[in-house]
Formats: sequence, structure tokens, C-alpha cells
Amino acid sequence: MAMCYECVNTFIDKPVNQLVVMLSIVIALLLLGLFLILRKQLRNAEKLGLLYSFVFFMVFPFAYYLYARTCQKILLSCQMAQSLVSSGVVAIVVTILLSFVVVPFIYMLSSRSKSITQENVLFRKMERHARKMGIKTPSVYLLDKAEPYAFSISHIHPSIFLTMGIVELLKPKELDAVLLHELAHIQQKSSPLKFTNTLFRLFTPISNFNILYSELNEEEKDADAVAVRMQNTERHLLSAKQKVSEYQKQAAI
Amino acid sequence: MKKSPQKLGSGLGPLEKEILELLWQKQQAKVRDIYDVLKKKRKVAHTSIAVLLDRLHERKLVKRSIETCRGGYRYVYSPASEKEDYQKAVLRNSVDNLIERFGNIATAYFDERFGKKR
Ligand SMILES: [Zn+2]
Repeated sequence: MAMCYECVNTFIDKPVNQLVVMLSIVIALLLLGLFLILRKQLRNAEKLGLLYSFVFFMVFPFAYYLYARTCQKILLSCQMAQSLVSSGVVAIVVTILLSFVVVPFIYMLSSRSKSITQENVLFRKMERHARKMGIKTPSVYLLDKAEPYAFSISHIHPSIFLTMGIVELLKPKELDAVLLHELAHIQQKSSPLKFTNTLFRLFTPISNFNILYSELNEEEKDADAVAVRMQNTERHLLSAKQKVSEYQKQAAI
Repeated sequence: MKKSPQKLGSGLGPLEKEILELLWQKQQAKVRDIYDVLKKKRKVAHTSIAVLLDRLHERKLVKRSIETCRGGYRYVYSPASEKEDYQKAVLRNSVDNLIERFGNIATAYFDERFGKKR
């Protein structure tokens, strides 16, 4: 990569710029430290918040550097405040884009997750449901976690994630209801208007079963409706939700 | 400095102790097995057994592995250490705590109580 030496020089020479870059990296490291220390106590939404802030403060110095460099070239002088705001916006955009790739990637590559292979009962179940709904069978991943939840990622590579907890806790019909609900999310992808909802779900993948969210979220209701329609009853879906919330209640004690 | 788990032994609820006890007896058990035994003795939910086993696992008192079964997958739990080793660790921990809290008074008492007869 050809980088102009003078630009780097002028950028690094300015003490203010050095300070901004250092500060951002220090904040990022502090956030990472906080995440590692509090990992056990934090709720999932808070964990994700910390991780995203970490990514933001890691991306920020690069955005800041690039911005300062380009505006130096074009305008020969840069307003400090303007550079900060503009590179902040760039960093936010990059963080959001990264989250699309990074979150699924973390889940897929994490040592606590394994891909469910074709010979497994769960995969065959999924295959059957997907065929009935007329969509391609997504990849299925099993997460080594006792907490029961399920979520799906419909972008890039459609995947459904199930924890050991939910597989163990639910009876076959109840698990079917959950799988149908998640498949419905993957089917929903087709509508670009629902993009924001998907984004929201990606940011809080754990909220799938949260009553509050499902009440508010149109998309959750639609996914539930699909499961109910496919099973001709809401019994299994309701008892699945009941069991999950019972577990959460026990875990909160 | 040797770092011993601070909360070892202390802070285990009665149900957690019972689960651990059962695991030492059986050496290996699924959530269901433990639930089936305990539900005869007391009113207990299947989910609370699952929660407690997960807590014991988090505290590294039990190990678990994933096994395939008819419904898909399930956890098989087993104790992380022999009962005797665990008890020794708890005892060591409590004695250390006493010495930390009472200092010389504690050591003098131990001498008096367990001291070699001359
Ligand atoms: Zn959902």
C-alpha cells in the first residue's frame, strides 16, 4: 500500500491528533477490560452494547486519521470539531456494517458453537419445515449454553442458532414451533422495508423471547403467526414461551 | 500465592448441595435423571434443576458434555472432582478464613484443640 509519507508525518506531528488517537484507543481498551471483567454479570444487551462501543472506539482513530489526511490534502487545513464529528459518523457507520459480519461470525466461530450436520434429527426437522415453507434450508448452529434461546440471522448467510438449553428444555412439538418462528424470520428477509427490524434484532439477538419486545415488534408477531398457522394450533408455541420464561424466572432467583 | 476459589463450599444452596451429592453417587447424570430423583423428595421444577446445574458448571464444580439423543442433543453432567478432594478444599478454605479473621486467637485455639500431647 502506497502511503504518502508527508501526510502521515503531519498527522502524527500534531499533538492534538496524537491525543485524540491515544484517547480513543485507551477508551476502547477500557471498554474491552470492562467487558472481560463483567462478562458474567452483564445482561446480553449490555454485553453487546459494550462490544459495539469497543468496536466504535477502535474504528474511530482510523476514520479520524483518514479524514484528517484527506481534508489536509484537499483543504490544507482541517477544523478539529469538524474532523471529530465527521469521523465519528464514519466510525458509527463502519461499526454497524461490521456488526452485520462480526456478530454472526463470532457466533459461528466461537468454540461454544457447532454446526449441526445433516444426519442429526434437528437438521432433518429443519429441512422438512423449510421445504414446507418453500425456503432454502438455513445452516443450523448449536450453542453450548444452558440458557434457552433461539435466534436467526437472515443476511449474508441465513443461519439459525439454538442453544443446548432450548433443545433440551422443549418437547419436539414445542421446538418445532420455535424453528418455524425462526424460519419465518428468514423468510421475512425478502421485504426490504423490514430492514430496520432485522437490524434491531441483530443488535439484541437475545430479545427474541422477551415478552416486551415481541409485544412491540410487528415482525415477532408475524413470525409467531407463521408458526401457529403451520402447526394449526398456538398450543406448542405458547408452552414453549411459557417454559423459556419459567427458566428465566428461575435463573433470576 | 495460591489462589483458592473464595466461594468454594460457602454459598452453595441446599438444593445445589443435594445435586452435587447425587452426582457423586451417580458419577454421571442428565438433568432429567436428577429431576426424577429430587422431585420425589421435594417440590422442585425441572427448569430450576437445569439452572442450578448450569451454576455449578459455571463455578467449575461440575463438568458437562454434549450427547446426541432422540430429541437432538442433551447435556451429561459429572462431578469435577472427587467428593473427598472437594471436602478437603472446603475445609481448607474455612480454616484459612478463620485464621484470617481471628489471627493468633484462632491458631492458639487450634493448638489447644488439636495440639500434640507432649
Ligand atoms: Zn423472533
